[in-house]
Amino acid sequence: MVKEVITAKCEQDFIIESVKADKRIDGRELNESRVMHITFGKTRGCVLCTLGNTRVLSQVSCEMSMPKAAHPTEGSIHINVELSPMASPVFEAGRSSDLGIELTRVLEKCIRDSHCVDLEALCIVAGEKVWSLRVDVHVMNHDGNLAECAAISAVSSLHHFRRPEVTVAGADVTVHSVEEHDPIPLSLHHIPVCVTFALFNSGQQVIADPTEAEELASEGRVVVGVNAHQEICMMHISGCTPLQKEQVQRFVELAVNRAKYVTESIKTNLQHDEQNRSSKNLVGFAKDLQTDKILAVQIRPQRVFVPPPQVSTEETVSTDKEVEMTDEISPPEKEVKVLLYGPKTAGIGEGGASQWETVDLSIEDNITTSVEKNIDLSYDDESEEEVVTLGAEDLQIESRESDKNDKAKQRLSRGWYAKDAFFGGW
Amino acid sequence: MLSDNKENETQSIRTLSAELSNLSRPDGSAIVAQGDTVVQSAVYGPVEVRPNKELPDKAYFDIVYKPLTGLPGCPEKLRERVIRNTLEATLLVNLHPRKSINLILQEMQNDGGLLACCINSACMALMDAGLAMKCLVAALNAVITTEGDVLLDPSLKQEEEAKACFTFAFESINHEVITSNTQGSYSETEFKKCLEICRSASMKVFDFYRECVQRRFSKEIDR
Repeated sequence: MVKEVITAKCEQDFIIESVKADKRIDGRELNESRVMHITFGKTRGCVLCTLGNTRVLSQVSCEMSMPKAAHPTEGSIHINVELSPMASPVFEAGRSSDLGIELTRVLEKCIRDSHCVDLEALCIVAGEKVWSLRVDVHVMNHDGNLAECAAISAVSSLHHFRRPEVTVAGADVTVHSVEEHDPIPLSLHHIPVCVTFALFNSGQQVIADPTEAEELASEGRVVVGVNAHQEICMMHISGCTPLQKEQVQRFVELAVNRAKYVTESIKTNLQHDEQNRSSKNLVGFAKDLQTDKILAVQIRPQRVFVPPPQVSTEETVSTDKEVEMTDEISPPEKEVKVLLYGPKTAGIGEGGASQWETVDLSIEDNITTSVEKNIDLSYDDESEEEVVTLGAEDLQIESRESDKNDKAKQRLSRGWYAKDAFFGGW
Repeated sequence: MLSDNKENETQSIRTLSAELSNLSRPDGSAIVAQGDTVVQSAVYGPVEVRPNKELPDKAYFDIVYKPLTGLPGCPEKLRERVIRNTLEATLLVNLHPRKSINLILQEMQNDGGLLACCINSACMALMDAGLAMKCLVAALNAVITTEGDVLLDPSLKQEEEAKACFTFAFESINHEVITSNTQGSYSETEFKKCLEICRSASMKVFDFYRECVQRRFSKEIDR
């Protein structure tokens, strides 16, 4: 596994020098973000957010559970961030790295702790049954600014999600299927958005939406969680640059502007998706792939010719093969000599290529002779028991049958060798 | 989209669409949609191998399957295994001893035939990564309905209602079966019928692979 991503010193220096000259390597302005796309999956609560090359997929799911004793009327929300090994060779499956924990905490602070989801609306029966939400955030491609991309993805999926309708009659709780009742959206108070800034030049210069190379070259990062109402939900500073009060205020101002844009964008995308769903248009990633991607290829439903059933003929063919197989086998050589080289050492024939298979089938003819030899050879051995089992009735009986029965022949040959190749002196 | 022809003369597979190299980080990646089943896959390789996974004579072929919700459990591990066995048969792993080839699959939408879509997506990602393979693999899915009819490339609903469900993977040279994965009970005749239908449908998938690669390199070719 790759331990960490290493960037060359000259590359880092180049990025730092460019930022000093108010330039960025991908041609953006310092406070310009990359292009953002939000696409919705076919199932409810499934959102793919791309920010430049960074790509995050999130899916919301819900299940009924017992509420916590301290909050008997509140549902719960769990955010699970998966840094999939798909996103970067550094990430390992099933193991949470420092970055993963940091990202999980940022999202928890931004979404759960900012109370953007009305948890009391998730209560079914106080103290007994509540909905617990789970947001699975899969990072699919890492090119910097995971926090912003993941937060947009997670919040959009919460907005997109619908939970099943429930009716409570006394102690009975009935969960209705999608067909019976239209599922209901979650009640959300606001749309918190994370905005990332990378700090350069002792915090004097700041760039928005850094790429991974820029993040690695930067002195620190600031993630600000705000909503369009100019409320700060979360603030996270990593790296080792001390910041002035004025700088922090400036970040918040920039972040609020960005949050307004992102919120609008999420809302229009959600509306667009609702329209498509209500007018029964195609929705989902497959449709997105078919219509919006230039380099994607699609083929329309393909008719496939169904070959006529060939069952009977096939069977005959297969039996034919078997017959051929048995026929093909060369007739056993008659002059197979068993040579005794010394105590417990014997050979069949005089060297050359392996004759095992030929010998295998030659038993039929040689059985009587070999058995006789067998007894002779092992006479001076002490393992008499085995010789007896080998030589006597079994073989003779089988040899009589084997004249006509192929299968019996195979069984015989296998038994003969497996028990004691070379007369038990092995 | 599916023809439910009573004479079973023709069957059809759902719309196939795919994009190669859609992720920037991996060495090879592909997103494949079969109808509404969408799977994203990515390949890193040959890369450095973890010491405990190192094999002296061949590359270690590692597969990670990520379900859309929750943590991977037993069915996911089984699916990983099937995909791994299918593709390791075609990959020339001996070319990269003491290395690792990592394949990651992410389920994005499931509407039936998920395993087949995974195998196709994985094969395209390996192809995109430029790893040497003996042949390509195309996987197809078919079910036997409760009425006993064969249905090629069913949706999730049809799959759940079916009596038996088959997934076959074929290689591209002689179109022989590499993998056969079945669920439910069925007769030998039904099995053979499904196999033949899937085999003839696999040709379409191989044609589709060709078209995808052509489109992927269309800019380079034009130049």
